[in-house]
Amino acid sequence: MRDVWSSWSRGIRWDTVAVTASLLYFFLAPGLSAPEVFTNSFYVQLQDGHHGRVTADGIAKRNGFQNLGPVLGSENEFHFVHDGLPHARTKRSIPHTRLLKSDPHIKIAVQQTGFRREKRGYNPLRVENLVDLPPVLEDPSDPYFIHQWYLKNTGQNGGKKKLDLNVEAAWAQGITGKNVTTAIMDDGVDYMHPDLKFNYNAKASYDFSSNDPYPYPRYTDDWFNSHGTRCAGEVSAARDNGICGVGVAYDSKVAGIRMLDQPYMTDLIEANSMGHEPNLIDIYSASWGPTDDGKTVDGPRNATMRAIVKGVNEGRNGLGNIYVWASGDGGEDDDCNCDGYAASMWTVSINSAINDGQNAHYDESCSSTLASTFSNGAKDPNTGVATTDLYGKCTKSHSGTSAAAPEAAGVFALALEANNKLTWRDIQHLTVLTSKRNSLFDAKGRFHWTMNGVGLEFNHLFGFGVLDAGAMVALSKEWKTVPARYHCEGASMSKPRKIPSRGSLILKLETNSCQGTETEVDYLEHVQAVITLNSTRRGDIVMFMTSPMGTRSMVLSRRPNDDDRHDGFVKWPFMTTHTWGENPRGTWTLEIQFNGEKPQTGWIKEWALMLHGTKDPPYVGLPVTDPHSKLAIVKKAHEDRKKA
Amino acid sequence: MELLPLLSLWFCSAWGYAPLHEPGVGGMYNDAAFIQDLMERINRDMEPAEPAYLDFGSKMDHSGLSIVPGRAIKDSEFLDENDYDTLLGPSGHPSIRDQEYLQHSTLYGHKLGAAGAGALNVKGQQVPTEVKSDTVLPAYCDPPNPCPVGYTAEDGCLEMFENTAAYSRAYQGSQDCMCDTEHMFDCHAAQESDDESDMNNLGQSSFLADMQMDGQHKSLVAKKFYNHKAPEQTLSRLNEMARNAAAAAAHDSGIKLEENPYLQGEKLPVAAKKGHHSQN
Repeated sequence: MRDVWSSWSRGIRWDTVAVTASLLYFFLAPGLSAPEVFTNSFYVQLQDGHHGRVTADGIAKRNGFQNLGPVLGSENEFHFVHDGLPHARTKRSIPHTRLLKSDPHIKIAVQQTGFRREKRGYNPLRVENLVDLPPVLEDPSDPYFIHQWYLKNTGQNGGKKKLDLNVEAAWAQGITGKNVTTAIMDDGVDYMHPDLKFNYNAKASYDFSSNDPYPYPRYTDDWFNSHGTRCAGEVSAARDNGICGVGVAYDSKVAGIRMLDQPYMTDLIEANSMGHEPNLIDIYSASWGPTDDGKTVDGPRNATMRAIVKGVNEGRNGLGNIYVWASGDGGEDDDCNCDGYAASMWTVSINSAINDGQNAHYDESCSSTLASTFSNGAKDPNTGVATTDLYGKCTKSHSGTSAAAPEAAGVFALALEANNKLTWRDIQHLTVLTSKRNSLFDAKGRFHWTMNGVGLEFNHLFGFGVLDAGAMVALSKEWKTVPARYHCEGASMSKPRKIPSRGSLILKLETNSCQGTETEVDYLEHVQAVITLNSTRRGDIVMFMTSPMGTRSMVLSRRPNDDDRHDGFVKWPFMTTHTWGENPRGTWTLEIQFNGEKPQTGWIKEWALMLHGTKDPPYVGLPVTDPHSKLAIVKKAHEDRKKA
Repeated sequence: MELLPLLSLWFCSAWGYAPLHEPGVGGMYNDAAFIQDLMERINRDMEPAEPAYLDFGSKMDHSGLSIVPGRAIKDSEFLDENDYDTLLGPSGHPSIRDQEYLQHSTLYGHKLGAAGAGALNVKGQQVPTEVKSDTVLPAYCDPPNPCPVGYTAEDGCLEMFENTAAYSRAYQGSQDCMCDTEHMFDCHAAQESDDESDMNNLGQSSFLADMQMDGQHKSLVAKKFYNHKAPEQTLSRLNEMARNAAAAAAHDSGIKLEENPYLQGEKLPVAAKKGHHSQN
């Protein structure tokens, strides 16, 4: 059963569905006068006496077509497509039609036209990411668009077709990021770049490294400070202007916050950057954090933490700012739960996959990662991220998880244009419900896709999967703000327990999730295990937390380079998103073990279980139009629970 | 020995600011100016600035360290303790129940434990123990501030500007500032050179930069660069333009460089997660 869900929830693309829908339309309402657009789909009826899928497959193949299957279950009517034809064109492809018609086994062949269709009542074919049949669009004409496989993966450079952010489906819905501002907190932005200058929001920008309003990057001989410019282009490089490529949200505004370019970082710079113009800036994108050396445990300091809290509570005129965070480049020897920025509930932590669906080799994973986007890492060096570069140039080799975070920021900008009332939590819920497993996988086979207690698939490396801009925009349009959020300290233990050198220490906490109190949490969002421990080697500790519904999160992985023996963890919040939507009531299990070369000893002194979520079921007001969507699955799980 | 710096850290973090605490420096100085500055920025464009907001933070610190086991943290109870309503002013806040609390970060405890070790570790190296007596941390040169679309020189930006590496290099080259040894090929030359050798450096190092940045298009980019820059007249005109602009900017801003208030405070071990290409 679970497999069925997963195959449905992945890889449904509007173009495939649209073709099927337009075929249906052909039968139900022919003869509409609309501007003629011809698709690469053909309706084919076989000659009498010929029928069946196998026969049709053969006929399609010998004519250079692909048989997508029978039309409405018919034995002699089929849907053929020709890959050599553009998805949409204004002229009929007479040679192709003629070719089919001349086949002795074909009775009728009709090239399908595309229609614009208005939204209407119940339609069994409709999926979340098909609000209405989008007008057929042309690709952007920007010269680097063909290199932007993360926007449209046609299999270029050995990538996997359709493994991309599905942005064209969002653009086709008329959503391009208008009136949304994303701030790039980085080493500055070349706001004079011809591909960025008209999308630059000067009012929302600042240079904290030099303390002036103009975050133009500082020159160095190695052009080191090109990073912010590259990130900015991913979000909002202009479309169809003949320069470089195109941004995910190409009509959105981008602000520059120059804050990384001084010899040392200070709490003041961070705090002021993250609290800069919170009513002008909607989304903050960050590609920095504690050093990714696999042994640092650090997070936002006091002023910065307060700036973030203030941002989510009060920014965007009370809806809350969206903070997007790159999970880190520390590779498998680091864990981003040791990065207090990425692990925060108030940031959306984004990991990266490469163009064939593997995780990138530098990916730093953790249970707080919510979703993934794309970056470089394939063998072919041309598979980096194509975007704008310093001094008006373009690049094809932007890289790292830091290239992934701005893509997510761009997708969120699209969602905010689709519905400007979305709160910071709505964005996280939408991310959970519309991210796709697609064909993401762990090349080393360590982490598998697993279903949580309400049927949501997650992976330790990728969170809930790769962002799907089309689906997110469609769901944003009909989104109802989620119910009030409560914070409950579910349970805690503070009796020191020894962590054995061999085997595991298993701890259990029973919680009623503050039932009957004002802060009752019945539907989870984030869960934190706040832990104090020390050991003779911090990096050898591995911890798993299992929810009452059986979802196991690796809240801390082995960090072979972390040889700390003094500090340990002091009230450190290990966060997991894997239990999203679950019922927190029951027994939580924490499993702690050493995983290293030499025997070590340690003590856990405290484990507090912090539950964050809603008392009311979160998706009640949302219509379910596709029974196979993640929304439908979670909603049903919640309804079943209510009945029980 | 170990207790004293820890105590001072604890105290200071309660005030939203932690001072330098390298060995041999320790001690504290007047934080009031920093705090004021910080709060002004944070409160800007929010509710009318409430000095009381500061107290909220300090109270949070204490409660953050004393989670009572097994107790549900009720929002109402919480509010009584912290008087958040009054902090927000009479206008109040529409949905108090949805507030996020600093407490949930619970990073304060960590700082007590690990800040000492962490803060010293910048890019895997020990920070020199010698610290300027000045409270402001060092800064690099200031980049030019060209006028964005819709801005004019009256807004304090540069109208005469060319968006090239050469321009920026010349602009920064005329400043008296700390050379970035990590990312400049030759700090000595940059400081000492006269106009002529400067021009040579300019061509050469920018060429190298192009090679480095855009591996797949070495020749192409290099050619473009030279086509664009070849006439020496253009180059010296550019240099002059950039230097004049830099001089004017320095004149306007006075001693701004030394006074960047954001460069005050503890050095944090934060690094950019720049991609592997740009790191190499």
